[in-house]
Amino acid sequence: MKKYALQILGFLIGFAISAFLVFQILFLAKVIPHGGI
Amino acid sequence: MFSKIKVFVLILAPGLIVGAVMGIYPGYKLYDYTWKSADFCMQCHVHDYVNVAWKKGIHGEFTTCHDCHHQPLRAYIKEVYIMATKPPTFPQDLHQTPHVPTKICYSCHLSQGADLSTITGPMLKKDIEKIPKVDESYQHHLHLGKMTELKELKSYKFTAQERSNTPQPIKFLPTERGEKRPIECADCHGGPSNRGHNFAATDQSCVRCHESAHQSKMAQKHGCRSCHFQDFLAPVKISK
Repeated sequence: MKKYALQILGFLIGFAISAFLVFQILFLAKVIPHGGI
Repeated sequence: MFSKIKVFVLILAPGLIVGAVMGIYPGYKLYDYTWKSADFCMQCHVHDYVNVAWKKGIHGEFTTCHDCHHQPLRAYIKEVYIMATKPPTFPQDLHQTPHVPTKICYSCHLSQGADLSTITGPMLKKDIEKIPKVDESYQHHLHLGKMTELKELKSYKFTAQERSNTPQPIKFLPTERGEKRPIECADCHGGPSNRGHNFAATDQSCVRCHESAHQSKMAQKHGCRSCHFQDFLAPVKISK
């Protein structure tokens, strides 16, 4: 049971980090060249 | 101790990898929504008639907000803070007219030297190339090479009536003089007579400079563009 909980936790962490990074990279790649920091 | 961490990582790793792969698409979709959907922008940015004008106008179909409205990264952070603490409401929180530099217009409407890097709207670059280019049309070319002393239309303060969702047409535009400067797109395609995002040039824009031209009744009845409009589409050079 603990093993499955850890696997689900791993999935959620991976999902959140990946989605956040993809969003941030694409968003910043547009914002910074257009308007700067 | 080390083996415990190893076991922990080994159990966590498969879920982490699968989650990371599956998170790519939602991350992209989130970017796509925040960057390309006007609905996202309009949640925070209170507007008057400009929302209606943008949706009705041709730019509403072929551009995104970000194509023309650029702001620094710190502004996005500030917006999140303002939305969390004091969300703006219309009309009391609508104070300013956004600054859109002329070079943004050039991105799509100039034949050479145009910077297309900021354009992210639904139009493909090969289709942007097909848009009529103002530097290749006779009267646009002529006007863009001239100077004016008229103050920029964006320098005038909007009245409450103009800041409403039902602005009435304006009969006369201001003609105050200032420093000499090159004519810009917004001198003819901007200003209160063609409120936000409705960029069609109006006769009121012509009269600001050409007030003494054609005093006849016919000109006053039919307006400037009945005779001169085609010159703004005619090519600079007619190929043989």
